[in-house]
Amino acid sequence: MRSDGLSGAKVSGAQAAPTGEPLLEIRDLYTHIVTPRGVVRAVDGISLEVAQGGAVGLVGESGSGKSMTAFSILRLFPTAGARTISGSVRLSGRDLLRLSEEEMRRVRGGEVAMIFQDPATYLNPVLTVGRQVAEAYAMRSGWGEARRSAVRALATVGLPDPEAVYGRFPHELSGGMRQRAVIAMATVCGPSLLIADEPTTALDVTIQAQILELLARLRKELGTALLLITHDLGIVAETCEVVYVMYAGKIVESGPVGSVLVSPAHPYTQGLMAGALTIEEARPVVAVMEGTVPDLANLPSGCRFHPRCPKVMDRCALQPPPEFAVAEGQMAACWLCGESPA
Amino acid sequence: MGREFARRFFRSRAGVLGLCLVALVIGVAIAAPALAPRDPHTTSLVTKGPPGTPGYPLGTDDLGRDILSGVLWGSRASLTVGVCAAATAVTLGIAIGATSGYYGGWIDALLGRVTELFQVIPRFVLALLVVALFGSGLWKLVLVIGILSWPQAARVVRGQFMALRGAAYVDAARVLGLRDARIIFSEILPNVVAPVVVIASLDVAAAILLEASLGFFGLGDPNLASWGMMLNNAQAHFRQAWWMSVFPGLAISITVLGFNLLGDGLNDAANPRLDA
Repeated sequence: MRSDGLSGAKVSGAQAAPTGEPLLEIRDLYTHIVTPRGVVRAVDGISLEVAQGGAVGLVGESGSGKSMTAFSILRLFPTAGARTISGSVRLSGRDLLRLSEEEMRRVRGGEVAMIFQDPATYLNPVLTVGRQVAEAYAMRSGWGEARRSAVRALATVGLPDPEAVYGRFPHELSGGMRQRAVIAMATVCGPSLLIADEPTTALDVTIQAQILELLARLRKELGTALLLITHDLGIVAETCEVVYVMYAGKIVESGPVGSVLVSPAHPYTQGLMAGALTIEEARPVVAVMEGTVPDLANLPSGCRFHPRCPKVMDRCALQPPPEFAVAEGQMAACWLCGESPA
Repeated sequence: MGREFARRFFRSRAGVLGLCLVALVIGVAIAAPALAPRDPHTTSLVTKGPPGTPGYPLGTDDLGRDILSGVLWGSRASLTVGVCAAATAVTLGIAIGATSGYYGGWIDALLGRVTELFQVIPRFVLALLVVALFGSGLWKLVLVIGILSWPQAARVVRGQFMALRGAAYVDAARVLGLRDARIIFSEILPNVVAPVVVIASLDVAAAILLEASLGFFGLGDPNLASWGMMLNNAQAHFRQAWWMSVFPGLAISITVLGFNLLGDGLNDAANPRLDA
């Protein structure tokens, strides 16, 4: 029964690939957080697709709702009071929002896995690395098989001498090795989708490049699709095929990396690009663009970007812009891009 | 990590002394049949013989029983009750504390009130009452003392779980689809071992003292040679035979002191930041 769920995921992944049907399809997702200050509209009606084995970047400043989108997919929220209000999250055709808690638990780690920003804190200090990697697999089979898979996963992520690493404790590994171990933990069950939330932010630049290379390699070797959440457009350009730009809970621009990053249509994306190009990579984008992401509990009227927008028009404060098609596969939600919805 | 812990522990003189005392008492309890010159229950005609009486190095009691043998055999009763009661208390404490701290909310509020209730009950009075009502016996004592001693362990475990349930690696475990039970037992609990060991050690000391106190009031297991029972017996003869109370009393003090020092030493080693 348990192993069925796992192999089932693999089989469906392999079969669905040629048809071109997306692996992950998010439609009109609303996730709100109820706080004493009011309702924070962290994810406010976004739609997003990830192709089988594809690589998608979700970009935005901190507080734009990127991570909340990821948590909504997994249906796990670190914040009390966070709840997905409506929408659908289809994974290989199944709506994850309609699964029972038990079915959802099997999806986590099995079909959808996630890695995080700071690898040091995502490993349990008192358990060996190998045990933590094996755990998700052991839950679905026995420990003997789990051990073998864990050693294989440690080798796949490029850790030298995986047998020895299996018995080590996290504090005995370097930062880069720890992030590799965390990736091994996430991929040991062969998930069809890997969500990476700022996977390289806590690492230094040389290690960053190695980890990005590893993620790209895993995509090729295991066919794992990647949803990369970051504020760094450089990483998206390097790793992804499609990019979604998120601002204040909404997608403001989306499309192939080639078009969006070469000719951004939305002033916000243009601002992000300007920040990325003029200032060295490590510096946060916020420092370049005027102002910060608005309070998600108290959003501005009309277009949410209008108070910060350098090209603001009268209309922007009154009506929220719909999505306009600006190029092949490229959409932007801005009144500069058209008069009527695409 | 383990080596570092040991180094810190062995640096504290009090902790090492505690460990030695505990080791001594455990050694005596194991070797009691070989060490004791005679059966602790066998009476003789040498009644209230002072220490130094030939054949009775620590003297005899009012029925001519050997004090030395009684003290040596008594270590078994004390240790059994102490260790088993502490184990019961810690097991209960972990179960209740972990549930309370991990789930929080109304479960925590409810269990918190229950914990407080058990904390404010005067333990000794209730133990006295229970034993007086239901009679005494080794395992009854263990159960009563254990059930009355869990709140401290529960509070410590609860605090740790509350702090750790939000830890990044616990989130990671949830993202991997691990069950709650698995997260509680194999992800969080190993992180809580150090404070629990400290509590367990202090609980042993407290349980031994409680058992001796019950014995002193004549509510110990009558079939068992225990220090508390010897003290109870000595009450009536305190003026004529001081040795009847001094030696078992000394044994209790040494044992309780040993476990307390050991617990403090472990605590200091587990929390190096408290060094100053």
